[in-house]
Amino acid sequence: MRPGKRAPRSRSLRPLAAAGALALGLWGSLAFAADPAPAPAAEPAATAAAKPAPTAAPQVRPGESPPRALPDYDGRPAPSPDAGDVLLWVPRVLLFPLYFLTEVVLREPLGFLIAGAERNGLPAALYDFFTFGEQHQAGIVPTGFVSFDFQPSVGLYAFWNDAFFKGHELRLRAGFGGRQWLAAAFSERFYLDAARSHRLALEAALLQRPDYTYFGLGPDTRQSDLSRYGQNLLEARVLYDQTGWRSNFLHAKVVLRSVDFRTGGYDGDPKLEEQVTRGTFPPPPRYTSGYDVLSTELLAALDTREAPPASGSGLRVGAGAGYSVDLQEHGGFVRYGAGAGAFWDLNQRQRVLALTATARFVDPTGGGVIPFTELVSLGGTEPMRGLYPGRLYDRSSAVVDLSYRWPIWIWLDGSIHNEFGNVFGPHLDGFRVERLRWSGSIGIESKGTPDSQFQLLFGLGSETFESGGKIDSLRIVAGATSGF
Amino acid sequence: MASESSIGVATLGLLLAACAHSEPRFALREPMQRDTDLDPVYAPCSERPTKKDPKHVACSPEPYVSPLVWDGLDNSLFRPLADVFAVDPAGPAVNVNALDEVADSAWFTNRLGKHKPSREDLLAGACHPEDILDGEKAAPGSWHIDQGKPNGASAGFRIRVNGKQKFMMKTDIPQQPERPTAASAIGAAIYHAVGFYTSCEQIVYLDPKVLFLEPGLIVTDNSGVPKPFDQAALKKVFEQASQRGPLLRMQASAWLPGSLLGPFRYEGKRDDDPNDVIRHQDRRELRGARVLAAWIHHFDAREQNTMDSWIASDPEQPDSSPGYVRHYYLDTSDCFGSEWDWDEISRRLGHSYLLDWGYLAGDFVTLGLIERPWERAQRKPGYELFGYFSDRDFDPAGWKNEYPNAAFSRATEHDNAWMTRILSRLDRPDIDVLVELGEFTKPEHAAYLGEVLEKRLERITARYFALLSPLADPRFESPDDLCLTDLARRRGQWQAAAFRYQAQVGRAEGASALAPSVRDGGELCVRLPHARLDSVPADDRRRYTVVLIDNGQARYPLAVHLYDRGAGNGFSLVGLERPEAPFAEVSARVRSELAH
Repeated sequence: MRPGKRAPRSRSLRPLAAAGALALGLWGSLAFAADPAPAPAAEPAATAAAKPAPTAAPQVRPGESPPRALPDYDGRPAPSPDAGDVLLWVPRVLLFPLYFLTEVVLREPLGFLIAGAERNGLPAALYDFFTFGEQHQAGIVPTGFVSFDFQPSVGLYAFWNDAFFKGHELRLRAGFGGRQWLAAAFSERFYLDAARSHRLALEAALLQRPDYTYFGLGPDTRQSDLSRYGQNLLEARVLYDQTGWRSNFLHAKVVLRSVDFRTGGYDGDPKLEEQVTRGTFPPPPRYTSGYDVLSTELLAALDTREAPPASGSGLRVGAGAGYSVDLQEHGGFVRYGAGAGAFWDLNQRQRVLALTATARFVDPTGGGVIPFTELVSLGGTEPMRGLYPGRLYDRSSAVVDLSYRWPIWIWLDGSIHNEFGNVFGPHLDGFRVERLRWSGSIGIESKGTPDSQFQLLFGLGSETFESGGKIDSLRIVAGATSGF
Repeated sequence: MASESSIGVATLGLLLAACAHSEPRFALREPMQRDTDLDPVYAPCSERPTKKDPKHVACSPEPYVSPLVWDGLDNSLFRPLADVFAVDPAGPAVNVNALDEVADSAWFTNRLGKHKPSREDLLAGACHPEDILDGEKAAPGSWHIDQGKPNGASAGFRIRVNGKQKFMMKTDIPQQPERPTAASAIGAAIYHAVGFYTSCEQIVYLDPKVLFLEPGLIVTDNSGVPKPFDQAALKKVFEQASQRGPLLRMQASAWLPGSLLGPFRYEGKRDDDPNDVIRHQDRRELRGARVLAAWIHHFDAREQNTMDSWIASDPEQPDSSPGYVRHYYLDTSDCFGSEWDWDEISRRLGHSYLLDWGYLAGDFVTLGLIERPWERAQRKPGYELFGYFSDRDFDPAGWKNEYPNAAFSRATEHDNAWMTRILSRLDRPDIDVLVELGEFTKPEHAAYLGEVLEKRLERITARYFALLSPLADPRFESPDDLCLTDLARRRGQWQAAAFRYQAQVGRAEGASALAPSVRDGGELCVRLPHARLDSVPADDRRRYTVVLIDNGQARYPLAVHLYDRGAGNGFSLVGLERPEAPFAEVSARVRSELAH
């Protein structure tokens, strides 16, 4: 088949034209009618009940046949419009602006551009450009992330499977969010067995942002104490992951991390330095100096759940521990924690009600001072996701989460989380039920690889119950999140 | 500024005007049997250089290249969104004749709906005797491969056969051996039997020795990269083919006649075809094709699987005028259970669109508490080649193809019932004959397919014969005996004793009951009395007669419109309606209309 021009098709603009004419007619009667005359009725478009009206004679070049007359198929005159046909004009006129937007502003131009690009082979060229390798196992995908009250970002995610040999993967992520907002991460992975149950990864990451949030330390911080700071992070990681029976896993990593802090800001919010000056809270530990740490971590979980489409019911028990050496000053800190969860698949079709509880701790060693960003935190991608990232920092945390997850599309799940928790002093010092907070979220998450997950989330968070439990935090997030 | 009351008066006036209407009578004329789009027309001429003739001028419509990605995106998102705001609900299809049928046209030919096909007719499909290939007896090297298959899911190549024409040869896919080739042959035959234009599809078992590969062939693959089509490429094709002993099983698609113009769209019209004056989404045959696609699970019913061809009056100059565009259905290889690489998608086929906003929103809002039919889908052990194709959870009214189709979305109850009436004429033996075209190696596969098709057809007739009247085929066996076929009773949809017929004849002077005479095979007749109409013009309203018949199972009756020619001269059948109102209500309305 030879490439042809754009489809010489006729999309009916008669509803558009008729709606517009009627809208103008009604506007005219409203504005200018001195007597209560009915609005001039526009020519009926090709509506449901009306037979198509004869078309006006088009310009016909010599040798071309004119459009054939529409036959009278059933030998009956067209029925008169009934009350329903007339009343249809009301929503037609009211929705005309939206119709104009979707049809004329969006659909027609996009159709022209995309269809035109396809006919000229552009998608194939782009596909070849952005995906390579004989099996097209590599590609580049645009990403974006929007979070309410944080700087949005756009970026690219690149993948290359079986890059230099089978079981060898490369990943690259880059993001840009305006001045002082830059992210880049690289991961090289090696699957050590054919079943892909053992994986070794070498990673490096760079992250610079000016819009981090800090509210102070401890369980009683308030949303109104919001401050902004900037952070530059540079990290190199070696990771080992092993999966086993059902959903059991073992995860080990060694991380070299360098962090500097700087003055930040977003949307006129107070800077962290300003809040310190005001006496809202003392300077966060290691804020002025930054820090370099070498960390090791080991996580393991026993999880009886099977992979979908099997039932999502099961039990999970996990624990982790890690030690970090402060490379700038003496000492270091040790992290540890544990969690347990029970999952109940309501109908054996991935409608999973879950109750999980986690407790995390961090203790200094050798007289060291734990940098505030290395403390236990809640909010954002950590538990209590209805709260801002970095909303709560302290030496320990306890969170209980009653959640429900269900499938809504091939690659999307809905999720609801009801979390109760807070941060506390060392070893849950100061823990009282009244000092817990509530975080609730509802959203949509993509299934599949955590490397690049889509998330649409609406979350709320509260003060401590002791302070009244007022909802004081709103979180809205949309976009692709990074799993590395 | 006009008062608010002026708007109210205007609206009330329009409403009152709208309410004052009556159903128009059918004209005294033969119902239309042949549409005028079969008449040749002159298309615009334009330069279309070819390799052989750089100055070639063609006088046929411009070929259309269908944009694959935009078609899916537009139909999944932009068109449905714009349609919501256009507030243009589907009304009756435009090309329906006085008998609630479609005339023969460049889109459709009444076959199954008019005459019971013979076994030979069903097996022939769209193939002529000269199209039939015999891969076992052909002379070695007599089938010349002159082109690789450029794209698509299955491998293949094109051949030229001495004394015959060109054919595209395709293999099965290894995951579902025999199903794609069988689906192509059976699906095309079904579409042809129903009345659509299709290509000639046949299954061929061939000895590779009959093939001769022309040297130097280049083929462009799915990603647009040109590659040589050589012995190595040919060997890869053979590796995908099912085999029966030393013979390879392939599907042969005969080249369509005429000058190919690319697919037709399910929406809008082709502006450079003078015969194309009806929006495609408002054509009955395209709308009604939804039920046919649902029956055989042709979820890939999109514009890329159609073809327009310019049929010139001078076959020696295929792109010359005068001529007309003929509209074909192609490629039914997805039928009977094709699957995607992702099981989650395969399960959903037929139950939801690939991107189904309604289900997505509904499942989100209801927290997934409603179990969906695709979650119950199962493959039958031993019949994995049919994927999830079964009659379980088959909902004829709710069936969906891959992504919304403008015509399918506007199919009304009448359009769906029209196709159901056609399909209901296929009995189980007819279905088994059609399944023979699949040439399954295992008899149990053929038996399974026949059984599933029969059960799915039962679901279709149960749904669409329950509302609108299934009475059809009006005819006079004697001047005064109007006979019809109850397609529901013919097919044994319900127990024979459950059918309770009532009939009434209405005229200007009043109405009276009739006594239907019921016969075997779904047949029934009523004897019509004549009115005293001496020296009254032939088309006078006093001769207008409406016969209402109800079968006691469908919710609504049939209305047959006639002109009384007087005693001894019989009646003229001028129209047939399937009103969506109960018998009593229709009867009252007819009496009121005839009295005025």
